[in-house]
Amino acid sequence: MKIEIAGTIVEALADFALYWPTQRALFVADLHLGKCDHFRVAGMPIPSGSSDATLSRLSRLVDQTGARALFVLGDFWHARTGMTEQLLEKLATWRGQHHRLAINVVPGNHDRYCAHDVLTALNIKILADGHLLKPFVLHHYPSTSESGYTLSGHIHPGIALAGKARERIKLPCFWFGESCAVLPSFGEFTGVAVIKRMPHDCIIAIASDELVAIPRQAYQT
Amino acid sequence: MREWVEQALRVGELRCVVCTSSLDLGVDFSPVDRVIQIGSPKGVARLMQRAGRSGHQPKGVSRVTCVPTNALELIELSAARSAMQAKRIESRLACEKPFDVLAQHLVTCALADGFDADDLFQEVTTTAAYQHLTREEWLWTIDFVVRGGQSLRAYPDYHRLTRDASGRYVVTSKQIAHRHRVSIGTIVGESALQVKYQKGSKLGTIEESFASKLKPGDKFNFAGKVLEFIRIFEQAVYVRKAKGTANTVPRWMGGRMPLSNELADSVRDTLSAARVGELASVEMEAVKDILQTQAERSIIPSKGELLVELLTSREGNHCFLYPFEGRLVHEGLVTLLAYRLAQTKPTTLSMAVNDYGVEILSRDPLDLSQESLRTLLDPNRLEEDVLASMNLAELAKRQFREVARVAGLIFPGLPSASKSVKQLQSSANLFYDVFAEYDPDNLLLVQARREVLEKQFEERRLEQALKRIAQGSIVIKFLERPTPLAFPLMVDRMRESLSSEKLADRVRRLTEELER
Repeated sequence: MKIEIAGTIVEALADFALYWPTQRALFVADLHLGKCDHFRVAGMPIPSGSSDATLSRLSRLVDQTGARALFVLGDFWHARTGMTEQLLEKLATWRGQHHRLAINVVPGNHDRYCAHDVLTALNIKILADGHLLKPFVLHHYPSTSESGYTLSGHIHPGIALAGKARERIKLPCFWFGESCAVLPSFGEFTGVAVIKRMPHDCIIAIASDELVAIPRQAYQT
Repeated sequence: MREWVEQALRVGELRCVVCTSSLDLGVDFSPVDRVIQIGSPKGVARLMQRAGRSGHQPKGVSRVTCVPTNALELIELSAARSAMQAKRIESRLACEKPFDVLAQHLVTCALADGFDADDLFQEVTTTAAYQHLTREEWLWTIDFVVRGGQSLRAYPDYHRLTRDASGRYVVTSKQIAHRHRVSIGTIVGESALQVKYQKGSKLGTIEESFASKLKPGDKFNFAGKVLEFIRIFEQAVYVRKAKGTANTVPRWMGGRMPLSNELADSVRDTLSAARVGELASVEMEAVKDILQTQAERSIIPSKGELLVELLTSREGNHCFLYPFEGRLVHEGLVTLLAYRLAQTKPTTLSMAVNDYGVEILSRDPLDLSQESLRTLLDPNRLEEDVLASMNLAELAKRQFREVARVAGLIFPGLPSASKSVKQLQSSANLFYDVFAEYDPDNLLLVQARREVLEKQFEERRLEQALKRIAQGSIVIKFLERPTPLAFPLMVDRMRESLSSEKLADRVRRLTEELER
């Protein structure tokens, strides 16, 4: 679904990503790689596979869009303890499959204690929070900036809709505000937090494999 | 605390104790004169067990006074008395191989002094619940607590238990030991929050479901004081002492016990009698007005007939059915009914259950007749349809939450939890999805699904209920106003839903509906 923001056209994809065709740039937020590994290290037997699935979804997306650059808007990792050897090996292999892709990461709160050299060794660039990519500013936390329109993540936005006969649905969504956009969380095994929208916000919900724009009037809980 | 209460009661220092049912199990309180039961006991055996806490000595007389919390409970109490007099008392069924409890027991044994796998297998299989435990299942459970299960792919970094030099299984990690100790037990409660003064002294805990509804300035009675709510911050409820009276009462959800088979049967008899004007007890006399209203707006259902009430309200189209089978059977029944309805055309239905009946709520008119209801409640193809409906509904997910908690898979939010622990919390639904996707053969998932089936099928009660309905008559009543039987279902907010519509279509419909 195409949207015009900051004077340029971007495309929201039902695969939880935002694509910027003119720059062939792909934006995703909140991968939370190694979340299941982190649980296991702490003694909770969560099956592995979700990090693999996250990476292969990313691969498919890169192939389908033909993106040249990938921007991760924070929370690349879930926790330092989840950065297991197996996962790092998988990530290196995955990187090899996309060696021509420029990958940039804006660190998020979950990346705080995760050594950046692991990523830089894989030719993944660490950007400063607030990195300027005209007309956009890249942040992890949603924020407003004078230098441009913010693209962010962090809150795993979701929208709750209610209707007659006590019907209720909660869906992940894209949240385009006046000066800031919040992307849905990309990673597997991540949840959704229901947002409170402002009157002029544009909300695009992800209903399995389709996108649905949620009009302002829709009754939300 | 508990020992002190028991002792003080014994020596007569305490005149009255307000407690949950946990105090009535396995303790002798000879000086108890009378038990006061608040609300319906939901079972004949349970009522007798509780009553038996009083006059607990040879030739002693047990006394119990029941206090109903709503008018319809009077019917249950009357029915309980008749069942007791007729000696219709429930038998107890042992659980069959609960893997969650076994997993927890293994970690507990490892923590205590370590265990030898063969010795413990011998011991465990002497219990009724695990007498049919196979060697394979035993090894899976050990594997689950040692390496995290999933036989094909090992969990490389996971180790809850390790083996010491002599080959015994032990717990070496302090963190794991601590987490296990604080979450031990098999009763899965709501998550609790600590109640604190701003200076930090602790008063006790209340359930999150209650705390989250408090607004600043709300006053409630707690720990013998009137407290004013300030805010919730980092898993604690901050309060200050208040003057005046409380305007809200803390609630604990507790376990919602279903009506037992015997009591349900007795309730049907009692109502049948009331239908023909026989009010055989003071309780039934007391509930006369309500029965009268039920009779005026609809009918009082009698044994051998299924009452179906249809009502259109601002909310949508309601269909109420009253099989009087208890909430567990009703959960199975309403899921089955909704599933079969949703098979006929794409639709989304909301469901509610209680011990007396079920409700299906739909935005579209429900086209129900004697014939269509007979088809929808057909006892044939039951298992197939229940299995299919389970995947659409949330029943299995809810059961998984309990199983996962007992097995130590999900760590409950504890009031004392530190921040590092909170990073380990995630919603049970997310866990369920991860397991269903990446480890579908996990025995805990299998157990959750089996328990749903067994509970809803307990001694094939659902099937028996449907057969009974099939043999009896169906009475359909179109309501102008909700009946006393319908009302509690109508306002119940603990609902499940089931949909056969495409998700995107639902979203578009919801947005269009409200744009108009």
